[in-house]
Amino acid sequence: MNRRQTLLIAKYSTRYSVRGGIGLIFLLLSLTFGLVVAHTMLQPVEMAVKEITKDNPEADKQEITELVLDEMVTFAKPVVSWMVSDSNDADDVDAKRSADDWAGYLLEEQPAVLSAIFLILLFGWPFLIAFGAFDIYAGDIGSRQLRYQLLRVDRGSIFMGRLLGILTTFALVLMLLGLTVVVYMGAKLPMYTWGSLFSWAAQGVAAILWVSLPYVALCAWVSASFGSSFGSLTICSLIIGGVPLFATIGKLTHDAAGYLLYVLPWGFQTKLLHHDWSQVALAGGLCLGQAALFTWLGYRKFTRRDL
Amino acid sequence: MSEGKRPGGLTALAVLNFVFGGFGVLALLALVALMAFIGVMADSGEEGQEAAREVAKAWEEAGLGVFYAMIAVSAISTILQIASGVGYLKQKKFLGRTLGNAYAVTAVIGSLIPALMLASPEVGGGFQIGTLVGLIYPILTLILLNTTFKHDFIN
Repeated sequence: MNRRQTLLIAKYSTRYSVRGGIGLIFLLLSLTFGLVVAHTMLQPVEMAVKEITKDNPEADKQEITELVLDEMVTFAKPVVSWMVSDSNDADDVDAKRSADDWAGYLLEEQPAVLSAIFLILLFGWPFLIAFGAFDIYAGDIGSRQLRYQLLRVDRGSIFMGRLLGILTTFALVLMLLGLTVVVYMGAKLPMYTWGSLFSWAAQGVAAILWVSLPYVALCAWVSASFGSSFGSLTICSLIIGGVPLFATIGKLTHDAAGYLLYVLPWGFQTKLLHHDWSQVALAGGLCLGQAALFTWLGYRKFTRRDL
Repeated sequence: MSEGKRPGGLTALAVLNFVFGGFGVLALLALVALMAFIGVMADSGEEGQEAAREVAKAWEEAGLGVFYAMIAVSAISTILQIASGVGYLKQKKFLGRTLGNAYAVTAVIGSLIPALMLASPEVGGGFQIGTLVGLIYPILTLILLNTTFKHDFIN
């Protein structure tokens, strides 16, 4: 594998991802999804503030916004606590306390609306990844166009270069999305300081990007294994969506089926937004481990298969 | 770039233009239906339709000029969007790139009219994050036609 060639392929892969069409669809889907999530979270706050301001025209708008957000946090805290809890056992006091602390950190110590947006994005983003990364190699394998590149560059550089290119595209899209949401929130919700918004958004964007690593690596493995873009998209979507589906259904009859979630980051990805840094490091390490495994499997397949 | 070969992104952009153009036609019909709704509400004496009344009142306050301007801009934008979709597929300079740019500018103006000229959110007024959602596609079109696909309109 040649480092210079890898970086060159990554650069062109990022630059031309939109030209190919798939990058364009991914860009449009991800920006729309992200902004719709932000819209869904922000609209109730804006509507409630408007209603109260209409009844009390003299009242300070910032104070009203703070009051509305406080009410919403009180209402949402048990729900978020339940969402992030590791245990379904209602008598497990330690797990409940830990989940309550975590929910408190997300909703009270950090900008609550931004936390809610990131929790939903963390859940929905893996599904979008399949649409952005399914065709890293599959289309060119199917059309046999990779043979022309193989005259000048080795298979390892093509594999790693394209993988790096798609990750760069994801990072750029996520940064654009994070910036748009933060600027809008900073302008509309003045009780949050720009510093707190930007630092939490940076952490949230980094968490989503980090969680993307194993999913993208999985898509790269699938894409390297199939000579059909459509087949690759179908398999990627089925695996990414099927894991939580089977885990949820299986858990109804066997508790152990819940561990199926850990085949992909579904079981621990929200821990990347945990208040305890050891939990963040553990979740980050697991993501990295899975990414390394899937990348190795994909690399192995791509470098040995008939192209 | 190979001469004459249409990039996949441009085809995707054309398909999206047709899809969003279709939605634009439906939105236009809905806007015209709203006009009739305002008239009915003005004459209606029934009670218990407070939300609907607020919408009608907000439109009356904004003035019919804004309403007609919105319909006109939406209609022009939708026509340009569908026509430029054909232009993208045929890689035509005027029908594709020029009309595509014209569509994008018109759509941006169309999104900003309610945001800047209407005060009430009931009728889509005020700058909301929903306005940004509406701006994504026209701004992307404007950027892509003048950078990524700049040299692909060869006919």
